[in-house]
This record gives sequence, structure tokens and C-alpha cells, in this order.
Amino acid sequence: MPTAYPIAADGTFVDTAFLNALGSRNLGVVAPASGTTASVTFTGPFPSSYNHLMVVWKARTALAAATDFLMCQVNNDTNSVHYWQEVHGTGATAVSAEGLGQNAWRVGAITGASAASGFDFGSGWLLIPNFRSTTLRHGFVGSSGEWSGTSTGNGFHGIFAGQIKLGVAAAVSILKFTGLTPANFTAPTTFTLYGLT
Amino acid sequence: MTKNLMFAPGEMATTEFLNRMAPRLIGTNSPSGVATLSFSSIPQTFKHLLLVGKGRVSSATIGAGIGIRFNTVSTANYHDQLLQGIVATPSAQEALLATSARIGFFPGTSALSTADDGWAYVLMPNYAATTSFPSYVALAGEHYNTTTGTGRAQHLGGQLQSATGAISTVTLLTQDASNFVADTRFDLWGLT
Amino acid sequence: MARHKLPPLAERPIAAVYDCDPDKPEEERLVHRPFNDEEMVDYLERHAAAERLAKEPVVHPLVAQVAGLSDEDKAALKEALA
Repeated sequence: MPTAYPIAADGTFVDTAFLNALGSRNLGVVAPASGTTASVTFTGPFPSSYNHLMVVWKARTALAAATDFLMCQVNNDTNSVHYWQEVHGTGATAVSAEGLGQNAWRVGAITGASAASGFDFGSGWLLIPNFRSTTLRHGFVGSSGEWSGTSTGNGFHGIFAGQIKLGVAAAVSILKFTGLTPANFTAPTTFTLYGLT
Repeated sequence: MTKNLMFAPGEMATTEFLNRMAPRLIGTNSPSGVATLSFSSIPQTFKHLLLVGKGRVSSATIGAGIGIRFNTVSTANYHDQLLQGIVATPSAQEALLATSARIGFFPGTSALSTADDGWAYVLMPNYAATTSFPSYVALAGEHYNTTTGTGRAQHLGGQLQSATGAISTVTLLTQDASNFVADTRFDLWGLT
Repeated sequence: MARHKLPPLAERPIAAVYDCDPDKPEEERLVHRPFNDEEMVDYLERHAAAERLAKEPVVHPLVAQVAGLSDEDKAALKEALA
């Protein structure tokens, strides 16, 4: 089915710029086939008509473990500039953890190949406000969780946040997602990037 | 070669065009005196679902947990994990194999005021997937009085453990079988 | 599963159902109807479970946390609060 675009009153063809100006919009979807890639990357520059970026995701990898963490590296920066904090509940226990000076943010919890069922996936979202700023260091907030089995303590659900510290502030133009121990993503893993006005 | 359809000026945009805009309101439901509310025949053309709710319940108590069910499955196959803060105390709680999963907590008639309510923001990523369990993450809260210990902030997440498949129906209910009261509202959006 | 005596339709709780089919006229989408038999059984069981829960003692989260402490930590807490 062809994509339908309306036309403006003067007969001009509606284009991407017009769509970008209308408001929040899906900037891209990546749904890799199983076994094809251990990383998902959105590359910009992202349209300057948006102020914030949001990623919504559901993911699992082929890692030989029940669970793993989803990591997000900003602007291909492999230096120790990603700082994060998370708090989550598992069973009857509230747990928090931090990461200092790492090469990626911990942004969520996912499942691996050893999860109890092949249908267990992690899911979540993250928001990067004001991503175009070149004077303020970028941060994110999000939430995520997974169930890797049906026994007590098999759930992990919580809130994640972090910031890029050190280095020069630059607009966010690349977001790269991998497992903490990178392994190929399993279908139907999906990452969707939105621009928010 | 791609052929683009053209509309005459003033002609309404098609559903297909609207589906490219995100988010889009699929439906709203403002129950009063109902025990459950559902969104059925959810189009499978979006990427994710976002549900926002705000309301109260008829329980003669401080309130009740609000449960979610997928695709009218009411059997004991839902898990959820709660992380919560009340005053200066964080806590966590899980529910295994329950008949619904929690998305929040709405005040009942013991709240200080009939204007006190709870709220919930529920995201269902990749809801149309057919080879993963339906799942969600949620943020919720409520404040039913002005004294210490009467507010809560929650993060919840869970899944339906027994059946894969796209989410075509979402049902909200009170976990103590009370009713939703007037001005309670839930809105469902599809994110493209 | 216990057998329940189901009330007549007129006495059953109401379900509000919003049909999200985009081809359906807006005015026809929201329907209020009484619970069907399956929903009624589920409702009665939830009601019974809620009543059982209401009779259980309520434990404040802080009390639950203290209960989880080791004997050594409890003694230290007691001393600090004295």
C-alpha cells in the first residue's frame, strides 16, 4: 500500500519537513532478525525541530544467561564518561546500584537465552530531554523491567537515570544499544526512537 | 516506483496518514459505577501502547490496587513487581500467578477528600508482537490524605505469563472488586 | 473452584467496553453491559479474596523492614532508639 501524504491548500506536496513540524514523531524503528546483530544504533543528526528524544524498546539477547542489562552509549563515546543510578524491586527487596565513569549507561533490564521461557523479554523506555544542548551535559531517565521465570525473585523492575559527565557537551547524535555482555538480539526485539517537540 | 496519493485541499487526512503521527488517541473510557473497563479491538498498526489513568474507587477503605489484564485472560497467570516509596521507606513486592497485574493504586472513600485520586502511566512496548509475552512498565502514585504516610510513588512492571500474542484488548479493574467512581478516566494511545 | 450462585443480569456489576475499531462510529463505541457468567465468577472470587485480605493484619513497611533485620541489628537499633 503506498504511503499517503496530504497536500497543502496551495497544492504543494507535503514533505518530511512538514511532518517534522507537526509534533512528536517516530524517527526510526529497528527490529533486528535473530542472530544478526549485537547492537542497535540510531544515528543523527536528529531533526532540530525536536527538543527531546525518547526510545521505547522490548529486547532479549542470545547471551547464555537468564538476564542481562541493556546499555546505551552516547555519541560513540567509549571513554569513561557515562554515569548512572538505578533503583529496582526484585521480590520483596528494593535494591539500588550506581555506575561511575563507564563507557555506557545502564538503561534497563533484559533477558537472555537461559530465561525460563523463550517468550520472556525485557521492556522499557528512556527519555533524553533537551538533547540538542551544547552547553549542558546530557542525561536520561527511564524505567524498565523483565521477568526471567516464574519463581520468586525472577522479576526485576525499576527506574534508571544517568548523565554524561566530563568531556565537552555536544548534542546527542548517536545512540547505541547493546547488552552489558554484548550478544545478538533475539526477535522480536524492537527499538523505536521518537522525537518530541 | 512509489506512487503517492494526493488529497484535495480540505479533504480529511486518512487513517493511514494519522497513523504516522504519534501518539494517537485510540479511545477513552470514563467509567462511573462500573466494575471493569476495557479497550477492545485495539488496532495492530501501532508500535507501542500508552495508557494514562486517573481516578478513584468505591471501596470503603483507603483504596485499592488497580489491575490490568490482556486479551480477556482472567486466569492466574500474571506476574508483577512493585517498587514503592512511602515517606522515607522504599519497599518492593512481587505478585506471582495472580489473576491481574497491578498498574497503580486509587484512593477509596476513606480518602480525606472526594477530590483525592490516584494516577497511572502505563507503557506496553511492542504490544503487537506475537512471540513474546504481553508486558508493561508503569509509573503510578496517589496521595489520599495530608498526614505522613498517606502518599506513595510506585514503579510497576509485569507480564502475562501464559499466552503470547498481540494485545488486542486491555481491561482495567479494581483488585478488591469495587467500582470506579465518577470522573475516573483512562485514555489509550497508539505510538507509531 | 467453589461454585457460585450467580445473580440475575439486572443485579450484576457493569462492564464498560470501548471498541477501538477505527471504522466504528464514535457514538457506537462505548458500551455498558452487565457482567457475563465468566466475569461474574471472577468478580465473586476477587471479592472473596479481598474480604479475606481485609481481615489480615496490616504491616507497615517500616515494621516489615525491622522484622527482617538480624538479631544483632535489632539490638543495635533498640539501643540507638533508647
